[in-house]
Amino acid sequence: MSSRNIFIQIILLIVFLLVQIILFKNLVVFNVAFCFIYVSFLLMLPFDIDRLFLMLIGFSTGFMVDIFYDTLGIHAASCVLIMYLRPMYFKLVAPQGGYDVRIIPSIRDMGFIWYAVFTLIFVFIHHLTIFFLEAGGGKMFFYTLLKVFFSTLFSSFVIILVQYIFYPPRR
Amino acid sequence: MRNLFLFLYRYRAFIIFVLLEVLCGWLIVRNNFYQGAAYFNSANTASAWTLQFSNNVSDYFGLRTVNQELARENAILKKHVSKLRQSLTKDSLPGNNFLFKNFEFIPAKIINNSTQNFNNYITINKGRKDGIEPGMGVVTSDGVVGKIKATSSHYATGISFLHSNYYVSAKVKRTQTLCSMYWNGINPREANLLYVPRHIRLQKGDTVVTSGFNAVFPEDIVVGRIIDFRIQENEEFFEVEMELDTDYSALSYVYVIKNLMRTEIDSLELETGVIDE
Repeated sequence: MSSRNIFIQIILLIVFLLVQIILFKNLVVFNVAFCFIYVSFLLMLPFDIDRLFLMLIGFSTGFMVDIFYDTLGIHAASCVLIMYLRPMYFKLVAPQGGYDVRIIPSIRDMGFIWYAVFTLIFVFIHHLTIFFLEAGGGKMFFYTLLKVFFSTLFSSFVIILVQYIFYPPRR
Repeated sequence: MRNLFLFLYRYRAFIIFVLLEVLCGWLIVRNNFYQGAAYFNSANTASAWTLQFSNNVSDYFGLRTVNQELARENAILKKHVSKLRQSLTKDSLPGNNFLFKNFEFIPAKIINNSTQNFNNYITINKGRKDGIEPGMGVVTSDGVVGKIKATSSHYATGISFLHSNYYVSAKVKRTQTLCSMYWNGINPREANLLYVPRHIRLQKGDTVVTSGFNAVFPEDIVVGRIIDFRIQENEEFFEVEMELDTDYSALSYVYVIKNLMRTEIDSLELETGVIDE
C-alpha cells in the first residue's frame, strides 16, 4: 500500500469514528436497533493487507470506539474476530486468478449481491459478539437476539446506503 | 527448536488472534470491577471534550424540555420552602430533615448517557477539581441516577442505576420495609424490589424511597411507586415491580452528593467489624 493510500485510510477512519460517536451513538430505533457504521471501515480495507496487520487495525479501531461507549474490550474483541475471519471468507469466495490489485471490497468493484451478502454475514457476527458480551453471556437470551437481529438489519442498511452514495456501482 | 519456530510462524495469525482476544477479555473483566481505576474511559480529556462538543450541539434541541424540567423543579422547591417555613413557625422537633445537614449537593451536567445497554454509564462535567470523588451518589430532583466510578480533573464517569449489578438500598415508605432496588435490564422506566418479606401488606401505588443506610444517598428521596407485586406459594419474598420517577433518557442537570460524615461512618463501621472490607 502506498503512503497516499495509508493517509486516505486514516482520514476515512477518523470520519467514520466521528460519525459513529456524534451521530449514531444517539440514534437508537425503538431501543433495539443500534447502528455501528464504523464496521464499514473495517470491511472496506483493501484485499492485500497482511492478516496480522488487519487484526491490529481491528483491535485499535474497536478500542477507540470502546473508550467512547465505556465498554472497554467489547468492541475491540469483536473487531479482532471479524478481522480474523475476513481473509478466510475472501479465500472461500475468491474468483479464479485471485483478486485484482486495484479493487477494494466495495459495491463499486464487487456489485450489489456480493457486497450485500458479505456485509450481512460480517455485521451479524460483529453484532452477535458485541451484544452477547455486553449482556455477560446468556442472560435475557431472546431479548439480546432481538437486538442482534434488528441492529444487523439497521447497520447493514445504513452501510449499503453509504456505499451507494460514495461508491456507486459501475455501469 | 527449528520445528517449534516453524510451527509458531505457520500459525502466527491464529496465535496473534488468540493473544488479542485474551487481551480484550482481560480489559472487559477489569472494566467490570466495581471501583477499578480506569484510565481509558469517557472521562479522559480527549474523549470528554468530543462528547462535550456533541452534547453542546444537541443541547439546542433540548432547551424546551430542560426549561420545563427546571420550571417543574422550581415549583417543587417552592413547595418545600413553604412547608419548611410552616414548620419553623411551629415549635417542632427536628425531624429527619436535620440529616440533610450532613450532605452537600454539587450541581453538574450530564454530557454522556445511555439507557439501551444492559450496563449503562454516565459522564458529568464536574471532576476532582470540583470535589467529586469515586463512590459519591448522583441524584436528580426525582430520584437516584447512579454512583461515581472514576474522576479526571474536570470530568467524572459513573455507573448509571440502569446497570445490571447495581443495587440501591431502598424502603417502602408506608410500611418502612427495608429492601433492595435494582434494574431488570429491559425497560428504563421500571425497576424491581428484592427482599420484601411475605407478611408485609403491600398496595399498588406505594411510594418507594431511599433508605439512607449506605451513606451514598440521603434518606427519603422518592424514587418511584409500586405498580405490581405477586408472591409464589413457597417463596419468602415478594416479586415487586415498580415504576421509576426519573426519566433516564432525558437526564440533563443532576446533583452529586457529598456526605460530609462518610469517612467517619465508614471508619467506625470498619473498626467495629460491622462491614468487612
